[in-house]
Amino acid sequence: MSEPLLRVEKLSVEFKKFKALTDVDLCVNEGEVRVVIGPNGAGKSTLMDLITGKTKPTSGKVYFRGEDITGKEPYVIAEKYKIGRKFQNPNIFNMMTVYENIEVALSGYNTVFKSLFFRRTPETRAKIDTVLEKIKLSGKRDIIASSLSHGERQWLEIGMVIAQDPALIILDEPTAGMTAAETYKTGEMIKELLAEHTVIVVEHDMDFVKQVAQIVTVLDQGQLLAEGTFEEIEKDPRVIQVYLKDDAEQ
Amino acid sequence: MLGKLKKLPVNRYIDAGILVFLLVFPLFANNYRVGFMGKTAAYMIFALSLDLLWGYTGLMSFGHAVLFGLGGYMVGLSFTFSGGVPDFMSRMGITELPWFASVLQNEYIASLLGIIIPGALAAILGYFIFYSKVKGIFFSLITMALAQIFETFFANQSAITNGTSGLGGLPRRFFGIELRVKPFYYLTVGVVILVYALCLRLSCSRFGKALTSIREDENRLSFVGYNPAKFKIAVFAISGMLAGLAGMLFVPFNGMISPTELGINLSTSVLVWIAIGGRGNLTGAMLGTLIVNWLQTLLSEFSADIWPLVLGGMILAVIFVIPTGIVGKLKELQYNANARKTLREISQKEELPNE
Ligand SMILES: Nc1ncnc2c1ncn2[C@@H]1O[C@H](COP(=O)(O)OP(=O)(O)OP(=O)(O)O)[C@@H](O)[C@H]1O
Ligand SMILES: [Mg+2]
Repeated sequence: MSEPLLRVEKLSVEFKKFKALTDVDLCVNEGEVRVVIGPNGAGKSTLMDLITGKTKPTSGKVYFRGEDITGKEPYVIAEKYKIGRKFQNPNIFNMMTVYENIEVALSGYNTVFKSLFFRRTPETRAKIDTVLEKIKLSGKRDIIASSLSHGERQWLEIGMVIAQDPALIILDEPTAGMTAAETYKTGEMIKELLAEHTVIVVEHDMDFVKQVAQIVTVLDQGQLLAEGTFEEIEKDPRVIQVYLKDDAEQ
Repeated sequence: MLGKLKKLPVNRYIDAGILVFLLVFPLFANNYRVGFMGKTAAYMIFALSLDLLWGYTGLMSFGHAVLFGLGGYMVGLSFTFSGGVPDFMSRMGITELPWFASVLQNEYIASLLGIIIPGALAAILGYFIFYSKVKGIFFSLITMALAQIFETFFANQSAITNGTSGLGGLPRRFFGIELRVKPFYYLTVGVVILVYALCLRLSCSRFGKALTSIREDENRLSFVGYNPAKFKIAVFAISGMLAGLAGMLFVPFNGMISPTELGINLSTSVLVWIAIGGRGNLTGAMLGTLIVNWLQTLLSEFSADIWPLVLGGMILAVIFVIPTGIVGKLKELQYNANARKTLREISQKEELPNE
């Protein structure tokens, strides 16, 4: 078998003796859509932090296209390996306009020297326009990001990820906190992305998971609980137990 | 064409206003006033340099005058050494110039050093500060300590700097050009325009957007593929070079330079000018410098005690009433009007069925 796009090997991390992630393995192939689910605090976001360099693992390895990227700086992982990430809570540049947020994320001009000589050309404008179309914010391009609604902020961050031209997209709960109408629109938006990109998406909405997932990975208490198609996962007694327990607590 | 003009940010009109004011000023003023305005113009360059660092990038330097003063001292020492051992040295019984005097005696090299040394100091300092991940208030504290150190050092090295009395009798020269007050003033205004154009170009470029993103959230920026530390070092170095240039233009109008020109007082003053004018848009830095310095001389001529009260009042007003400064407030008003219009248009469109 050829090398997968992303390979995570026995990844573990501890925060002051608290094992947030223990020996997690994960393989994602080029073109795949992977959904990661699991109860609150299972370590889903932490796993994404380790892949994108936000947190350094205690042990284990992360390989991208066969290259060891474990513990590299976030900007290297974003720029050189082209892994783009949308955070769980919308993380955008608040006092900048929608347009500027996308412009700054646009790939290819990220060194001091190149950025000094960056000029808005018809091509870059067209590219930004395409992104704005995709995230349905064309009309609000000159609006300051802080005055957008919660849903729109999520979209703007998705737009920033698209603008990065990523080889791997990580979306951490892209529909969290959205209204039903917004969730639907977001679903459509993401489905468009899935057609063209390799994506890892953390999501709670089971209807959404069923729609998009090829393989689902289930995490629980920092460990890999199960992996398989949605149908397999749905029937897996361990998964049912974890989710039932979770429901019972609520 | 007219539509395009209307769309221009409000501060571009103020920029034009300031420029016209600077250009026509000597037609209506005596040499003394023109000399004062020349100092103010040099201060404007200084404020622009700090606006890149503080206004755009969010790095609040409390010691920016160090870079300004170093530029000034390079040319000051050059003039002082050009005639051999100066009086204050011979009075101390020193008969030989220090080893570096021969370098500084060359006016062109000294002038270049006036830009390069502050830039290099900022770059080196930036390298250590930003790679060690020093953030926020600690940057301010370190730069403040730097101002204290330099002010004391230059005051103590009296064998070279003539101590707190400073170097006096300095001519109106810039890169080998010696001019009378008014021509020198226009030369300075020319440099103000060049520096303003450079800063405008930088702030509109993607470099400028990266700086603003650093101010907003530098961690987020690193996930888009930028190394924030490199951008901070670069902007600190550029800012340092411009501050040095400002110092080199200030000294000829002032006729002298002393350790106060690189100390905490001036460092704090320039922060106040920018805060009053409004940071992060270049215009505010220039306008604030102009307003504060002029009010200061006019009111001091009128009465000795009134100025501190007015300045204090202005600082409080900026903190409590217009935290974004004069120009910031104007920009806000313009933005709100535009945004309201855009949002109204969008909601009207959505009300149309099947659109
Ligand atoms: N930097 C950190 N320091 C200490 N503990 C942490 C840190 N980051 C995460 N944790 C802990 O690790 C555990 C896993 O957190 P994580 O955010 O990965 O969960 P999650 O699966 O994303 O949950 P959710 O569905 O709520 O987003 C939590 O108990 C959390 O408190
Ligand atoms: Mg999470």
